Formats: sequence, structure tokens, C-alpha cells
Amino acid sequence: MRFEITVALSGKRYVYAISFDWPENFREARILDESLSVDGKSVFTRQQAQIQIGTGATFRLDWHVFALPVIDEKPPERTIRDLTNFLGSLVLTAPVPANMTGFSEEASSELDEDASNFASCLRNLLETDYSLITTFTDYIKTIIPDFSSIKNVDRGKDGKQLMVTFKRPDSQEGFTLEFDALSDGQKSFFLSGYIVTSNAAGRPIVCMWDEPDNHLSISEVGQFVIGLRKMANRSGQFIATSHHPETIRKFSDETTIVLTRKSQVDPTLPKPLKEIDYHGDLIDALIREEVSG
Amino acid sequence: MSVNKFKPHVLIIPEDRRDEQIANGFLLHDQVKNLDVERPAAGWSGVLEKFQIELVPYLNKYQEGRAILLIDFDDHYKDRRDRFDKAIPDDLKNRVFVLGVKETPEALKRSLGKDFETIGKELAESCYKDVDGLWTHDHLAHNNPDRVKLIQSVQRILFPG
Repeated sequence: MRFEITVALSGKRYVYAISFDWPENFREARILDESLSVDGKSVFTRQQAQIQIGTGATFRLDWHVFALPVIDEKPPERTIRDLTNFLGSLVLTAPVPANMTGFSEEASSELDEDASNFASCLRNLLETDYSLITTFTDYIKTIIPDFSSIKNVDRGKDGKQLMVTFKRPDSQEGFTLEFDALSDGQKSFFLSGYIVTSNAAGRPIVCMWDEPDNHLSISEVGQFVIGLRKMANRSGQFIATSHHPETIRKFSDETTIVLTRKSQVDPTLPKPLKEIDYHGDLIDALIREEVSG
Repeated sequence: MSVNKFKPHVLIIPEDRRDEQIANGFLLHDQVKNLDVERPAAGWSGVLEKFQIELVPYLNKYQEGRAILLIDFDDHYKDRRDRFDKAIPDDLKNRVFVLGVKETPEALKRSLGKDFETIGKELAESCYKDVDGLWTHDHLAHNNPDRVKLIQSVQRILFPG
């Protein structure tokens, strides 16, 4: 299994790659090779346990341990640190709304992949700067017009419970309920509100959202995706993986990469949509497999 | 949530994928609100058919709705314009607008050296700032009478501030 990421940071092109195998009788996968280059110049390379730094120095490392976070540079060089900070700021999410509760024992700055600690992350964001509640509330109101407010109330010794209030826009009529009682789609909206607010709060976020259209009704998908794309146009980056026609339509040929694999044993290959010749409607072309990498 | 059909809103019906990308670019402008882009209608005749079958009943039902029919004129501006004018009922003429490139979106794209989405964003920026901008380009200038009418009708809907 091989992973490779190319990142443009501060005008430099970083290429980090790592591959694994899982030999028979091993309890876990081992690292086969690993490398980092910046603007084509090697920072380090690795073959199993053997690491070679760009300067020529070598050392050995357990083949279950990643080299990237272990290797450090002499200040003021920050090449590796800049990349690890960037990778650390990535928000990778494939939310499972059923796991998203409104209760938090403590604040957290790192969103779990299934977004199960959403309440802890929102708590952290608002404890850092409570004025961000306005950004969060305003965004949610654009997609749920009768949303009124969200509050953390004390529960237990250190715990907090998110309570959500809905009111008709033209009256005081409404009700308050625990976040846990929201529908899966509503929870997805609140998660998008957290991401948009985090992005507005400080360092731009790179958000990779697997199937953002899951749990949404067909009429909600387009505006939901456009909302996240608008956020990324202001700062940060939004990357979605999707099979949903309404999501796919909301990206241009220039911002779409088609992932294809010929069979279950072949690797998944990426190809920019703008390099693929198709005719007529994009979704129809995808259905008849005219669009493939 | 999609646009609120009980409040002032605008729907764009693009002719094809290329026009859809231009419309999406418009939709992506940071200040644009109350706008939705429908699925492509398969050619200018498809837009006309979709308008007559789906949009006329919709606009009669939802009085706050407006529609922009985004087509390619393929160098037949007068003929195509006449066909749409005849098809738009009199009571909807102030809520339905026909816009499009003089030839094809590709010709505009080649001329500007920009992708469709960027073109859409720049057209929205011109509307937002109420300046001519790209709208006076050779491939778009013929839209001017409709654009003026359109801006008067929908600017406060699309850019409520």
C-alpha cells in the first residue's frame, strides 16, 4: 500500500511518500520505504529501517516508526516542521452522525475522523474565542433559517451538554433540545458550521470531507457544497470525495479529479477531469463510464 | 437548504455543462444569495422545453421566483431570441431573462483565457459592483438590454448585503 502527497507551501513543492507491506506472521504492517523532497531536493529517504538524510548521514529506525515526525533540522531550517504542522492542521473527516453526541468531558482541538468528538471541538473553539459564536450562528442560519442559538450547559463535574434552540423567524415560538436529538443531516450542517467558523478564526483549514452529501436530502446537497466551496474561496481548501451527482455538478472540470481503478486489485488512479474528453452531460458521461482515469 | 421558494429567489437553467460551470461560478461569488442552478437542459431547445413544461407552472405557483435561461446563441441571436420571446408568457416577461454567449462558451473561454467558473465569478463581481466589466466583451455585449432589465429586477435579491 502506497501513499503520496504533494503540497505547495510558501512557494515550495513538498513531495512526501510512504509505502507499507504486511508480511506473513507480522502483527502489524511495516514501513517499506519513505521519502521527503522539497523542490526536487531530497530531505531524507528510507528503505525499511535504513534512513539517509539529505546531507548523507544515515541511521536506523524501527520499521514500525514513521521517520517524518522523528527527524528534526537545525534551526532556522523549518522544512520538515512546516510540513508536519500543515499535515497536523488537516481536517480529515468521514462523519458518522450517529456517533456525534452533544456531550463533552473536555475541550479538544483535533476532530476525530468520524466527528464523534464534535462537541469537544466546538467547545474548544468557543472557549478560545467566544465571539466566534456569531460566525457559527450566522452560518447555520443561512442553511437552517429557524435555528436560533446553541449553548453549552453544565452537566456533571466537568461535562458540558450542547443544547440547540429553534424558533420561527417571525415569532418567539420554538423549542430547545439536546444536540443528540438532531437528525443526521442537521448534525452534518452543524459540523460544516464548525469547519467554516474554525477557518474564519485563524489559520486556514484544509478540509477533506469524505461524502459530504451523506445524510442530506437531495435539495440540500448543492447549497451545502457551495457553502463549503465559498469558505475555501475566502481562505483554506475544501476537498470532497463523492459519488453524488449534485455534489459533482457543483465543481468545475478544473477542480475535479476523477479516481478510477480497473479492478479490485489494481491501484486507484487520479486524473484531472479537464484532461478527459467527454460529450454532453457530465453525469450521463459518468454513468456510461465515458469519464475514467 | 435550497433557496426558499416563498421568498424572492432566482433559478438559472443552463443549456449544458459549460454554461452550468459559468452559472456555478456566479453562484460561488461570496456575496451571492438566493440563487440556485438547475441541472443542464441539453441544448437551447432543451432549455426552452424545460422552461415551458417545468418553469412556467413553477413561476405561476411561486410568485417570488425569477428565472434566467442561460443558452448559447450560436451566432443566431435574433432568431433564437425571437423563439424565446414568443415562448415567455406576457405575465412572466418581467421575471424571466434570457442570457447567453454570442457563439459558444468555448469561444468566450478561448478569447479570455479563463475557465468557465472564473468567468462566472467575474460576471457576478460586475453585477455586484454594478459595472460593465466582462459584460461588454464582444461575446457578451448583445445581452446588454436583458442585463439592465435583469439587474433592476434581481440585484437586491442576489446581493441583499
